[in-house]
Amino acid sequence: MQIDYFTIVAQIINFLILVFLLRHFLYRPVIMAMDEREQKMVSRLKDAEQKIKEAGQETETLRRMKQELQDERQEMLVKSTEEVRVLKTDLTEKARAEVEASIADWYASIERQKESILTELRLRTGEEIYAISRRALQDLANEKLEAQIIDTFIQRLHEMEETEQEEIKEFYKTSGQTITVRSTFEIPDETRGIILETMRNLAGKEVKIKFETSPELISGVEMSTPDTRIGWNIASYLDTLKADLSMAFQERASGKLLTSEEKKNE
Amino acid sequence: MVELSPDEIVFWKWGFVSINETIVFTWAVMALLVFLAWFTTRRLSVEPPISHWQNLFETLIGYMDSQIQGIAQMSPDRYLPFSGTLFLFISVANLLDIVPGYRTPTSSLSTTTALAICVFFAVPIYGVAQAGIAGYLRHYAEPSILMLPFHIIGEFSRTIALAVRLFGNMMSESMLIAILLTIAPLFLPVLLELLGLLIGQVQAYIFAVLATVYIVSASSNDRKIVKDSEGGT
Repeated sequence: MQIDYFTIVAQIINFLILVFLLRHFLYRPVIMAMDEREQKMVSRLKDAEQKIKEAGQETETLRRMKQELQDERQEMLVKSTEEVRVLKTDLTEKARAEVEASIADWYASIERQKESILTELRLRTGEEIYAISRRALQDLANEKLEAQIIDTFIQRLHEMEETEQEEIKEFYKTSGQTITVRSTFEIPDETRGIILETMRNLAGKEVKIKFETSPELISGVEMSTPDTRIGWNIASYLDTLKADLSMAFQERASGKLLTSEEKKNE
Repeated sequence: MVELSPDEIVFWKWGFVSINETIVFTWAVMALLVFLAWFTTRRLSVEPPISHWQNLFETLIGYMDSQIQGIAQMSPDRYLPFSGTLFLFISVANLLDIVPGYRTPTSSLSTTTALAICVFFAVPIYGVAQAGIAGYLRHYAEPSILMLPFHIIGEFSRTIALAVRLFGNMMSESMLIAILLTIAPLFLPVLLELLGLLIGQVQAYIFAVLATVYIVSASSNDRKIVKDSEGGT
């Protein structure tokens, strides 16, 4: 159990040298490395926290943008739906109006065609009536009728109105004037004499009368001056009938057309 | 024949100077420690991957830091080189006991005395550096001037206790193994060798912690730490 003093001194020196060497080679570098690592870790943690914060902000921004986009999309969707609805309504209205206009045109066209056909039919009917009447009356004209016609004519001469009588007188004032008496048949001489007598009495002087036969009168007698016409014939009745029918048809057609125009406007 | 002290095996002697086994193995331990320190720290890496040795030393230093921090309640940087070297030296010296032919220098009373003397002088040096000469000397008269002789006696007695405790433990282990080898040479010495390694590490820890406590107590006004820590050994 002895103590070697030199060994003690040597060990103290050895130990101090070891402290110095380890301090230089071990503690200082290792502690520096550990401190540096710790600094880096702290720095990285701060960076990470900063990045998490930034990411959070970024996420919030993106979320807000997404929400805005969704809102905008919804708004656009609603707007476009409304526009489509309005457009559809407009187009439907236009289409309906066009269809109605076409229908109205079509109806008007149909109506016009109908009226045209009816008018033509009426005109033809009138003409046919006229032709049939004419033919029938021509067929019916015989001597008995002629005698009756002449009687009627003579009676008509006697019952002339004042103005007619004045006109005839006036007509015969000029010398050499001839009144034409047209008939569909040959007037017998006796009857001619009656007519001459009657006219002479009326004019108060000798008169000239020219007797003609005219089949266009169908059946009847007609005495005419340039200003007046006295007589009775079926042709004039038929002309009047034809004129009346034609006028009635024209009035009816124009009335119908007006009615259809009014309908269209409504 | 088992040599009780490695001091007695002298390799070279010239007058007062004698190079014995204690000094030689101390140099070996020092060389190993310094080589490993240099080898590890010559390319330290801050970022992973970290070498195994760097990892080991960082773990050790981190552990020592936390221990000193726990004792001193202040930054351990000031005390780490001294206390840490005490621990590393004693720990490695005892650990190498498993190498055949090696005898730990801590089983020499000269080595433990040298370490205790280092602690003995470190206490006032750290104390004066921390609190100034007056501040350091003042605590010898606390809580009363009557306590001064006891403080002085305490300083010497704990230094001696420090030296003898380590020496006794390490020497007894060597001696026990030597005796057991003659009685039951097959199995029992292996178990005792394992126990010896454990005791060696425990003693390294105890020596370093006590040294730190002594130094810190002299540097700090809080004497309670010393009283609390002295009881267990």
